[in-house]
Amino acid sequence: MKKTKTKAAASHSRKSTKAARAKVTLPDLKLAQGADGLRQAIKVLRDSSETLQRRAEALRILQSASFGEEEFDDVRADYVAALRELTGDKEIALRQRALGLLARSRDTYAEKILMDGLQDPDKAVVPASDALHYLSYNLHSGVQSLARSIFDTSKDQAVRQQALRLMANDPQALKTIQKTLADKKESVEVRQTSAEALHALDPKALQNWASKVVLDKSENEEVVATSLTALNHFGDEKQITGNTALRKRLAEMSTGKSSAKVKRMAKTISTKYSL
Amino acid sequence: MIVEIQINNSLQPAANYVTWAWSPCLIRVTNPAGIPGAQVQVQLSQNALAGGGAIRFAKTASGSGSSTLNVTVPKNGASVPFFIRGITASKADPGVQITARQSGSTASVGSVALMVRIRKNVTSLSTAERDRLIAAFAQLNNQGMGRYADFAGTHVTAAQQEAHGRSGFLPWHRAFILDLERELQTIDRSVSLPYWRFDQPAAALFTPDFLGKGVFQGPGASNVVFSATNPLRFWKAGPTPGIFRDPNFNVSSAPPGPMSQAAALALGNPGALFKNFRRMESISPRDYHGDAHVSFAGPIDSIPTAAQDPLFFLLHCNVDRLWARWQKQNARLDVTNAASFETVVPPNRIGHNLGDTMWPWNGDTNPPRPNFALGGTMAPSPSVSAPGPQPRVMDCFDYQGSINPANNMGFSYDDVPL
Repeated sequence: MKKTKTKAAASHSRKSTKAARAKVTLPDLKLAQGADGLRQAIKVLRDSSETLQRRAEALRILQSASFGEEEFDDVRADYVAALRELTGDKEIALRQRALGLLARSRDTYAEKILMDGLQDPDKAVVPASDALHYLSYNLHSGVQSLARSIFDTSKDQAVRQQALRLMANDPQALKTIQKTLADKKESVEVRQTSAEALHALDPKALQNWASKVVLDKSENEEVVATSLTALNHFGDEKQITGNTALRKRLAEMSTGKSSAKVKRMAKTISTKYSL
Repeated sequence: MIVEIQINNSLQPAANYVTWAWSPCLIRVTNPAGIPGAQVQVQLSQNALAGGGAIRFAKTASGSGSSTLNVTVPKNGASVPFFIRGITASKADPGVQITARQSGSTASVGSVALMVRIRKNVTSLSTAERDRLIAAFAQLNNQGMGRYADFAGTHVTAAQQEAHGRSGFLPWHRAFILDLERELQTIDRSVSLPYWRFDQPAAALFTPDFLGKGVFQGPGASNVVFSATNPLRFWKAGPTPGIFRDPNFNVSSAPPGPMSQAAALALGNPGALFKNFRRMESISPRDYHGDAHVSFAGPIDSIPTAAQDPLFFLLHCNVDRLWARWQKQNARLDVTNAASFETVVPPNRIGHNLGDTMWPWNGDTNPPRPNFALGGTMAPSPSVSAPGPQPRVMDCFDYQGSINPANNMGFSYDDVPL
């Protein structure tokens, strides 16, 4: 790794990412044909004296070639090596892209860097929410226990949402997810992510929760709409049609003061289940 | 007198879907009461229903057809063949009703409703079409436990050699998206897979109510944002729930990477040869297919994870549409024409030669095939029999049955005529 990033640097780096992403015009790297051109692209990618725009274009060309260019096999090993190098690059946009690509191919080198950064923020090369996402491509118990711990301690909403997604495969996280879902002090976005996590972990539990939310007149409209969506698309017909209170509430929502989307969803469910 | 009309030679309502291709139909008398002679003259006509659309009739599967058809039907119940094809796509099911009337009478003696089901540009879908599509996708996914998992689990590193880098790339992906489309249609028969024209702006696709809104200029691991009423918010096709797709471009415009359609179609030149055209898969520094994948950071940018994102299928529908356009433009539908495919000596890797069956539908898990094959055989269609349960490469060319009606795979594109 050429350079380690502190927690503060990682946080500030969002601004530089924003600036980098704004440059979407694609420069002409004047590459040769075939494997020679791909080698040239790797050279540009590795060269920190090149502009970010040219290096990003080299990365784009190489990753695109990985989808089927016959000559790509000749440079595959060099490409992976270059991506690993980029995990310590000065440019966070390149660190993010490289770590994402490596993580999607379950690269253990990248996974170690990400785990190290989550355990020790001074070693972090990308923000924690990114690291959690990249680690989600190869879940194992170490990542999941770390996600639970981060969720409990972090105040950053993006980090907590990513942690919840990792917890969606972890039976030990079930109680925490349910508690978060029920907690009206949590942000709507975190509660919605909890609903998605619960849906993945225990679909029946989500259906029970969704019915309760619909019956709760003090609930947030966005959370109600999310619950109605779960009932509409994944609901158990017998449970819905057999729930008298729910049927009554859906009828009220269809015609009452609810928002347009809640009304529409309530009507859709009523029609679908012939309520 | 009563007549029975069969679409696609079937009485199943599930078969009442047509494309631009000629569909074989049958008409027969089921109640001859009131017919004076041995046969009766019947006129077949059409009227648009709520879903809209229009068809043409013909006595043989050729020509441009007509808006009505007169048929002589025997009284004894024997079936008489005729053909129909769509000329205007429906937006919902049913879209068109065929009515039979005895010549000289206005009274209906039989009718059948159908849909002209066509693959469309995703930006042209109505709100109802969009919502049916995402509902079918969500159901197929079913929190990661549905049939979609087989598709996400098939397009992975182990399958790279089956589906990429060689002549079989286009046929394999044609079969792959058709298999998914048929699975979607078992959930909602009115759904067809739309295509994402990634060389044009498609802002309507990347919204919270459709495939989700990514954060351009955002952090490196953005999950797309869905509206509360979008069932795709419960998507799970990888180890964790959610769809991650960070656009490398402003989604109100087209991504800057992929070459234009005209440039991609010209790749086949000189000679309009498949071996040249198939470079649209991946060729530096600009191509059509690979550059569309890497317009985003996220699962879709890598072979092992690309099919975890439902956008994959809209992207590949467009790749397939381009091949269909190229085939039509250059008369390359006939697989016996050497220019329609790239045959190499010695033979290509297994799976990339015309007579080879394709994995995973063939269930072959012997080397050099991957050691797994998810999902079983190709999903059947109630309307057509091609490409069969274990498609060969050669079964995926004449997709509308233009050369041989038996080759009809049961789909058409809105901008590629028969």
